[in-house]
Amino acid sequence: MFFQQLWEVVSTTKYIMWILEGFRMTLLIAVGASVLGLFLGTIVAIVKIAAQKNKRKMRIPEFICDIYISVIRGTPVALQLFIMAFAIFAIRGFPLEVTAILTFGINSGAYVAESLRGGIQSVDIGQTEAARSLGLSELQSMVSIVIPQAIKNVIPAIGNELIALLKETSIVSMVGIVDLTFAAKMIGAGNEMSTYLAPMLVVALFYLAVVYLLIFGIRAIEKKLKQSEQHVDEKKAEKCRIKMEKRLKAIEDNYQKICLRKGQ
Amino acid sequence: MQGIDTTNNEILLDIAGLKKHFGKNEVLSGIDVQIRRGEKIAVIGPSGSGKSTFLRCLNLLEQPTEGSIAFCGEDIIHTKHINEFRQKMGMVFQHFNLFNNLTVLENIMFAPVKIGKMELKKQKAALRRLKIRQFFGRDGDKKIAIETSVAQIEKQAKDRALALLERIGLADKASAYPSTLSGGQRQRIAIVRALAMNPKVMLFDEPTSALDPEMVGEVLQLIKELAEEGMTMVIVTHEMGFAREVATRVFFMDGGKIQEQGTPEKVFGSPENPRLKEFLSKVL
Ligand SMILES: Nc1ncnc2c1ncn2[C@@H]1O[C@H](COP(=O)(O)OP(=O)(O)OP(=O)(O)O)[C@@H](O)[C@H]1O
Ligand SMILES: [Mg+2]
Repeated sequence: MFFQQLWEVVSTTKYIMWILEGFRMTLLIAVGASVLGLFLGTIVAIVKIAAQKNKRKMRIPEFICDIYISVIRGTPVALQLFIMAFAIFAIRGFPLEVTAILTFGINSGAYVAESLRGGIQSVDIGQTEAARSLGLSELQSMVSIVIPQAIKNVIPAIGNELIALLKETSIVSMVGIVDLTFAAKMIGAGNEMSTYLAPMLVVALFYLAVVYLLIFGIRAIEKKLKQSEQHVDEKKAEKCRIKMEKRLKAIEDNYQKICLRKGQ
Repeated sequence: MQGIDTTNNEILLDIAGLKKHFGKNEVLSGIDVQIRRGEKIAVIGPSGSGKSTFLRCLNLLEQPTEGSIAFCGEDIIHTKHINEFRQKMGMVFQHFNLFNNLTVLENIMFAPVKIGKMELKKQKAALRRLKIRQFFGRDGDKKIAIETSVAQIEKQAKDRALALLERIGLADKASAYPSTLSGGQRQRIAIVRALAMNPKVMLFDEPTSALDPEMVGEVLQLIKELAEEGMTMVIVTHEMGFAREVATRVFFMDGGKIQEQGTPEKVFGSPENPRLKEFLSKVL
């Protein structure tokens, strides 16, 4: 019975189309919001770090960033979405998905900013001091030394943020955007299958698949970064060693030949 | 080492009335001292006496609260070109501070390449400006010759870095990352990283304090070699034997002041300041 229902969801062209359409919308919002969030978060993190070093000049930008972070982190994202959709962008013809991208982008920006700031601060101050003592500017030390190390530190946190963001986008169905979750709701409605469990489960698999893909990607990046710092390039070292040995052997052979000739 | 006469050499660092507060805490309370080219200064003193703070004020890693510091006769406290001065003052830290995200070779090449490129950019900008002026018929036939290129800067930096690594016997570690090296190796690399900028003076802040005992020797040996080559240096150290052997002058700091200074024979052999006597009785 239940398996029949599952089968019905995946074998009915109309339903599959709805799901794929919803999936496209979910991905669109999640990717758009991630890009916006990373961008905003980086800027806010840099402002906050700069403010620590230059208290006077950066007072106002820092104040704005503080308000932004505390308001976003202190209120529910559903409420933020309603305010954006029903108040700020309640303009006829304004595409709802853009509203959603803006809402989630601005929302995740605050979280990304905090992780990034933490990541930058967790890099040993000695790294900056060494760069400065060599005569490099603040910006050069930041860009070439501190940020590359900070990124390595924050990749797990940012990855989690992206995963959370993907799942949170499911509330856009509350303002009438047809995303993956909404598609399941439509399929389960009374005049369609009039059961929710099967369509919801199918849709859950879609979310799971993307989340696993993300986790996999994050792990791969982490591993790559870790390797690059902890090991000598073994292959290169081995190649070098073989080359040297060959050369040594050649020299030795030559030497022996010369000795032999001399002996004759 | 003590036989070298530096009394007539030019003054590299001229420090007058140097004070540093951290909030209400006065860490340096008036330091007046001159350091001449070729001198090897050892700074000794109890923990918390302000030795590191003094050293870090010399290249403005700490902003002095009061007083003046001149490097080669130029004020460095109120300059806008502190980065240019810092290029000529190498610093070696207690905890090495090699760049973790760069290989050994990249660590050494990093500053010379960055700064070389920056200068090249400046030259190119100057050339552009000159051309524009000449287009409007000014500055007649003045010329700016640009003799290097990015590739050349990189090659020179690399050759120099490899030569420096060769010198300390670590050429085979060129492509390794710092985290794979021993403390002694890291510190020697940190020293040649500073040398790659051709500094006029080297500042060492307890270069061997974070090392396992068996690695102290190799680092001190390298510093000693630099001293013998005539490098001007200021070394904060707890290695009294080393200070005695290498220094041409010893500063004893306590309570944010240089309480006594002089040749190692004098400071270690016939100390006058009671606190210095007490300090020496504890550490020797
Ligand atoms: N960034 C800072 N902020 C506040 N206080 C500081 C700071 N740096 C140093 N101090 C204080 O200044 C005093 C002198 O410190 P400093 O590091 O110069 O001593 P030191 O002689 O190098 O000691 P040690 O032999 O332990 O390295 C200490 O009391 C320390 O607490
Ligand atoms: Mg110290």
